[in-house]
Amino acid sequence: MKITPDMIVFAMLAGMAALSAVGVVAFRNAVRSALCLVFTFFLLGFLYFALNMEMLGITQIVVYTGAIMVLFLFVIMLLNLGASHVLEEKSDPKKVIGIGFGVSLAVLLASQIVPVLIKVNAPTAPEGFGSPQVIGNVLFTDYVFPFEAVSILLLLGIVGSVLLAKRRLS
Amino acid sequence: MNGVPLAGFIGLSMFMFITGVVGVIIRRNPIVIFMCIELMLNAVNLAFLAFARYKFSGLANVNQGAAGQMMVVFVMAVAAAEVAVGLGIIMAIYRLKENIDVDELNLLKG
Amino acid sequence: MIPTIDWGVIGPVAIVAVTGMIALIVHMITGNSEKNFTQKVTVFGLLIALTSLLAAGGSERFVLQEMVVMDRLGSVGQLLTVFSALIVALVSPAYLEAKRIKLGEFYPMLAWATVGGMIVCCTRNLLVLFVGIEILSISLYVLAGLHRTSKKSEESAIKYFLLGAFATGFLLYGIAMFYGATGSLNMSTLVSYWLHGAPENKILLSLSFALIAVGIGFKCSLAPFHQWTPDVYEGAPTNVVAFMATGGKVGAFVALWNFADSFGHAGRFVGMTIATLAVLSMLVGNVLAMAQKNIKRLLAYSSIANAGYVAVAAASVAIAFRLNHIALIFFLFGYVLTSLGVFVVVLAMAKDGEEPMSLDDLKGLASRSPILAYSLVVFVLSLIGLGPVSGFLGKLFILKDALTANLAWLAVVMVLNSIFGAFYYFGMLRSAFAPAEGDARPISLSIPQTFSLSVCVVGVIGAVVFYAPLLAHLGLR
Repeated sequence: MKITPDMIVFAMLAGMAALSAVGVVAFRNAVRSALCLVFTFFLLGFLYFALNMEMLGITQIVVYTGAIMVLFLFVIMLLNLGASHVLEEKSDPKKVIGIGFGVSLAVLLASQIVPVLIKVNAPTAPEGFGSPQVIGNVLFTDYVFPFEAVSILLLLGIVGSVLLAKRRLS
Repeated sequence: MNGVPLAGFIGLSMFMFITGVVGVIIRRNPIVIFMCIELMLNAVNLAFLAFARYKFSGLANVNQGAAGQMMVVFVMAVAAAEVAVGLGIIMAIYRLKENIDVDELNLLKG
Repeated sequence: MIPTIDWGVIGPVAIVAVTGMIALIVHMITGNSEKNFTQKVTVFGLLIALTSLLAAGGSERFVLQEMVVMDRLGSVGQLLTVFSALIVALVSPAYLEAKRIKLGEFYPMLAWATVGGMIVCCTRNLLVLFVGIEILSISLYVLAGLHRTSKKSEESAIKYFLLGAFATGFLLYGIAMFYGATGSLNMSTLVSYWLHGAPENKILLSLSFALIAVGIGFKCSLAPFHQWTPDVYEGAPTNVVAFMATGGKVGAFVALWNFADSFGHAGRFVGMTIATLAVLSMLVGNVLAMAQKNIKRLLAYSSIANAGYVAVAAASVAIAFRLNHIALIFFLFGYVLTSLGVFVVVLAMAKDGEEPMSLDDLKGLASRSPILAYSLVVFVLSLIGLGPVSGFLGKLFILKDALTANLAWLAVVMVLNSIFGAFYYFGMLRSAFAPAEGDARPISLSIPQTFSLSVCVVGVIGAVVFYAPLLAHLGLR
């Protein structure tokens, strides 16, 4: 296999993403975990661009790093003001079991899946495959039923979070 | 990305997924556990997009092959709703108990 | 171009969704008024949806490339989901009043949870399945934490939420592997890729099956993914649990069955895996239930055991190609009506912020309210599967399917488990007919409670009496 410049770029992006993913789990402070997660999401956005998925790359950055992580950090700050001790945690005896489980799962999957996929290295998707136009077209024709269903989901998400978080119970 | 095999993307996706799973098992703060779950969902998204690009099967037109991208759109929407509700639950339990460590949630046993 | 919409197929779902929205608006206008308009609107909307489902029927219809598949199983599943939501909405006001939970948002959330269950019942597309499961689960997470001042309720909500989201991650990764192997999200593409695809596809599909089984197994509370069930059932408000155990499970059961069915004549390996889960669930459910003193935990283990029986049906269909879904329909019918009935009995006993928690609290039920006690006898018989009750028929059909699929050992395990089950179910009856301890005031039933109870009793017995016409109506003969 010939090493192309693209592969080096991919390796760097993927390596950083993997490292910050480990950071999410390894840092004991919730704020640091959250910042690592922001970084992971951001790098994933770049990887989506690398896959020619422009629309979803943008959405990834706007929705995940923009909205979801802000919500996370907001809640963390809220708890941090009240009681910072809830964000620090003690070490856990389950750690060994968890890591052992993870490593064995990784070995199992890597040995099964990666060898069969290593041959696939030519993208088959045509140009303009990830453009907003294509996504919009499909979303509002073939996928209109789940699209409407998701509107219900978002509505109940809003009502539910208000229901759970409102302070005064009238 | 020329020359990058599909296995590179899927390998990264699996690594992130397993990191998320391990995080859910070993961490005790529900906010961090929830972040690990978000990590799992992002691993899923990466896998979908990589498969969508490398194993494109929309023979007649571009629209038919867009199932993978659609899935990612919906996962993002669902994740947003899930985050809103999940953090609401975490806030509610913090108000009630002043503590959110999952190992100290032990009222329900039997 | 926007595709034309077949309202006969998605009409009921739309009605329930809109009912939820209207109920929310009504709640915003009237607040927690004495008249409880929110509940009335919800009950009315669910009744309309039920009627439209009964009126629709007809042949199998596909809408939007399998995203909505209206078959017999799907329409019966939708019917049962809406029915259980209706019964829960009917009996909830008294319970919420007794527990002093003054949150009228319960009703719109219940309606939307129903929408999720209905979507799951009628699809063969994994994307729609995922969206449906999430609508159902997210509303149940919120509902589990409905009792805001109870630590147990909040704790059950967070447990349910974290474990549920975790399971969703597995389900999604399974769907991703499925997509990687087949390039499609329709379950029907599975068979050809499983049989004729490249070896790499087969590996991806096996992995996908394992991960999806974890995801759906969690939603069905199959062992070993059942740990959340007793805790959540114990902590969550009982009216929510009543829906969770009936309407919330139907969708998951139907999805499990559909998924097993989609392996067509290539499902030997899949069937054996599901059979293993079935054996585990039946054993865990029935053995651990014997040790329980808490009614809600007992019912939770009972629902795990019942999930095991459903898994027996799913395993049979995966192995014996083209089995009818009649067994599952009858089993679900009996399961939903029976469990709803038991929960109506438990809900009716709640008073002054208290509700029956342990089996001892059931003591004296026979003298306090003979109607409740004798209804409980019918339900318990149906749970055991004894006598002329629908629980018996459902189990009989599932056993027949298992034998058709050459799973005689599984059938034997199931029969043995039903016998184990009898012990703890009779324990409930023993408490109910023991003399009263403490509170011996008679229990008065409101009209909606009496109505719900009688519907359940009539349904449980009627399924056997009107067995032949029912089959004819279902178009299965």
